[in-house]
Amino acid sequence: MSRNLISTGAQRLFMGLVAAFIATPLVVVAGVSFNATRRMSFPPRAFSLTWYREFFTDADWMASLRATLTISACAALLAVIVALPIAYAVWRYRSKVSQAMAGVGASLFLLPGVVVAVMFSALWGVTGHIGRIENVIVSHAAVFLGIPLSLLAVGFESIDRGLLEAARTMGAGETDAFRMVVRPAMTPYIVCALAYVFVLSMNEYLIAYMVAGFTIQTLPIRIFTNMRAGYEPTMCVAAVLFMVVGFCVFGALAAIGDLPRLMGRQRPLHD
Amino acid sequence: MFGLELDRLSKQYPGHLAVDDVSLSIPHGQFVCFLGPSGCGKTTLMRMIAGLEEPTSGTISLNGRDITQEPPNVRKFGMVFQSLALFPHLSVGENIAFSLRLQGRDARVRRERVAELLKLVRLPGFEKRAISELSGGQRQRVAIARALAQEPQEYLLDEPFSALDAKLREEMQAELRQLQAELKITTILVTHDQREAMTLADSIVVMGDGRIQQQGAPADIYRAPANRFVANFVGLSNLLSVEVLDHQTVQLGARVLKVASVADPRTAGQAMLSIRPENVRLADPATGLEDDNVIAGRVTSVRDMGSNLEVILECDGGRLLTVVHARDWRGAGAGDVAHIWLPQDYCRVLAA
Amino acid sequence: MASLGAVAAPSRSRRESVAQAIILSGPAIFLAAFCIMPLVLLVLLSVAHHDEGTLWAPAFELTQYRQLAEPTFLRVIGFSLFLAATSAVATLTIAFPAAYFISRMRRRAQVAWLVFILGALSLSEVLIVFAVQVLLSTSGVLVKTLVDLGVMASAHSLYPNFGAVLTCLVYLVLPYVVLFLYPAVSRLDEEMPQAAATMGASPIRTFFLVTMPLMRGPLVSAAALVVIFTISSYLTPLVLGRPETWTVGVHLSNTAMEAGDVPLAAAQAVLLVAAIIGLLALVRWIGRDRSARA
Repeated sequence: MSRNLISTGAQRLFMGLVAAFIATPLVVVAGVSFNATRRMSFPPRAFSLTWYREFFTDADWMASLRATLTISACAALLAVIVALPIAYAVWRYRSKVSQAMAGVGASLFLLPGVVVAVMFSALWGVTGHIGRIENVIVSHAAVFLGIPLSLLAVGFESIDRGLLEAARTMGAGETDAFRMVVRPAMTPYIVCALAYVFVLSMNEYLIAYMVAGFTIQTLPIRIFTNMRAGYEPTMCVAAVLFMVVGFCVFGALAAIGDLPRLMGRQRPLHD
Repeated sequence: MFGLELDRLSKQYPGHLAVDDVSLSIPHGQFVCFLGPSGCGKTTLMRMIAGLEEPTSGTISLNGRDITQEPPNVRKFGMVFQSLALFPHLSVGENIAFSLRLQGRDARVRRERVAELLKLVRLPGFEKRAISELSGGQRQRVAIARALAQEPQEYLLDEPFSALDAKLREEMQAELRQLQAELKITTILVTHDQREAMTLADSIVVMGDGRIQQQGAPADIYRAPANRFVANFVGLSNLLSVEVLDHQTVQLGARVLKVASVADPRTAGQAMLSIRPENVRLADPATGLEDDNVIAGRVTSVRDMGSNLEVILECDGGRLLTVVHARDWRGAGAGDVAHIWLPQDYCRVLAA
Repeated sequence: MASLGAVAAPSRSRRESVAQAIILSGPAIFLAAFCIMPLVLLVLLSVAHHDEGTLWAPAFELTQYRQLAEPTFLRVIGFSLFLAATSAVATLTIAFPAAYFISRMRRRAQVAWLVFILGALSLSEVLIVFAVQVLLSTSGVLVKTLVDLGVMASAHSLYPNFGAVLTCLVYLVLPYVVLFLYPAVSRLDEEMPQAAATMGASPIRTFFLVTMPLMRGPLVSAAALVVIFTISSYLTPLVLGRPETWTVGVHLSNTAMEAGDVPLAAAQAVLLVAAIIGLLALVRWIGRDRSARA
């Protein structure tokens, strides 16, 4: 018994510390948001929802929230729409062209955010299309394209080609086979890719700032401006909002899909 | 006690009992097979012996010393895994020398020992090869050699041949048997293949449902299965429902049959008569139809295997498979009635 | 597949390539306009002429690249690399065992951890930096605890300094690295370390002789991920550090946004991209299949 107890004990302790490390800043921000006073202190002196009321009645914060949600939703959709044909072609035709396109598409995700931000601000500057919300949407879709590409590739690879062939031998045409075999298998991966890009876009700061920061204040931009100008308790409310959205999106994903598999685990997990 | 002793060993997993109160002693130098269907607990039992799983209760002792709490790296029982678990980042030679490197042996000793082991498994000169360059059978032999390098006190093999094709498997079995005889090393092999167990082992431990169902020499287990599970799992058995009358007679339908013995003396009332197909004989109508142990059955199928025929009959108490020599068969086909003789000596009665 | 193709080879492959061209045309336009174009533009910008009024004018000059060789910028590169190496080691020390343990947990615990880590990953750098700022500030809970415990003589802010920058960077990149290692670690054959144990290897030796070498490829890639992230980090060093702990990322952004020297920023970016490509090539070379050797 003793041997196992020691090793599981050490393991629990380690994972406990990791969890504490990850959770601490989040708990602090959430705590501060419930503070009754204006001072930035933790633990909160007295519990209050003042700042929540202020946040949700403030026109500027609400405008930022709307802009952020619009950008994230559109960017997620656009990224998946672009990635889906590429990932499908890589899987279905295994052609050099599609593989090269997948490589190019994933490349921006590997580049530093700063570099990408400079690139896109130059691009929109050159085209004279400045400070528009679609700039942020397209830039985000391009940067995060690597995520749907890799997730969808994992999804397609998980489809048993034998199943597809079986469907064909039973008289299913290309579109029937797609509808019967490919679409149901891919749905969780598509949802996961959408959620992933949505959440990352929602939290992205630098590119949004450099591309259209002077006209569109997304939530992260507003928080950052606040942070530099001086402390404002409502920004903690925005922060809590982010956390809630993030955890809800991924929690929902775990509820509808096999999260370990979506995250790339190949061997089945029992229990 | 010289050898390995398992005393009331159990392993409880959440929701199921993998090994249930197993006691067993394995004398030094024996070749033992744990035989059973998948999920019977044989691998868990072996992993407990190796120290890879901790028993929930019970003790393991080696030569009289309790080793239950010893971690696997202290026990150092050489083990060949089902997946082989050869290290892909090391060459064949480095894989085999792994345990010697841990012992801190110097390079010359390691080289010599590796060469010697490779010769033993008939792969001389393979030291520098990468694992990925080897065929399935060659990998198998490297795994066997690797686990032997440390000169283990117990040599454990977990379904080592299951991934090989039939021909290669037989060759490897013969080689392993020869190797074990030469080295006189205590060997435990886990398998679900009864033929493998019969050909290799000095002693077979048949496992089912986490328990030892029967233990003994291969021939004894085949000849005298202790219960229905063993009769079914080891070789083919005919099982007919009968009613026990006394310790040597049972009733099958309207007929009373003489049997060799009732395996479990507590067996009474409804029971199973077990007889191997090759022991079911055709009755000669000229002489013996009136013999005590002749019964009639309706032929349902005849399968011509060349030198033999496999005949399935429907009779009172169940279906009966018999293997007859082609020249003894008098051409009855499906639907005909045939008379068969169940020799008393081969009729065993098992609990239902 | 092969036999099917052979039956109706010409028309079928023809039809397939037409179908492929149709479905790929849209994405191809997107990639050309928003992935390749910006990269080309970046290179063009890096050799353009810096102009105070219009920011830049088309030209071909190497002024910017010459500026990259200035000692101040070289020092920045040197510091960034040092910071990157430190944070890579620190992150992997935490992320590798964490990913390993998570992949060995029961399903429900695994899912919970994955949601937790995905949630943390998705949080904006802005938020994390802000939270760390709150935590380390003079009135923050950490300072108070330390003062109460007598570890700290008087309450003072725990930032800006190198430690705060490093901690925050590790925090930010940790979820990415754990998720990156998760598939590889969950594929790791449990029987490999067990085989080492049966041959007499202690858990620690098993880890260094078997587990680590088996995971070499993913570990090196993960380290590269941390390095790329660190040298280009912007907010963390800016807010939690001092000018001497600023990374290439901070200087690059300042060049572009504050000094308005877009061509120089572009040149710095090109250098950074070149360095990353070099790093990835190195990773590929280290992670290549050793078993292919003769």
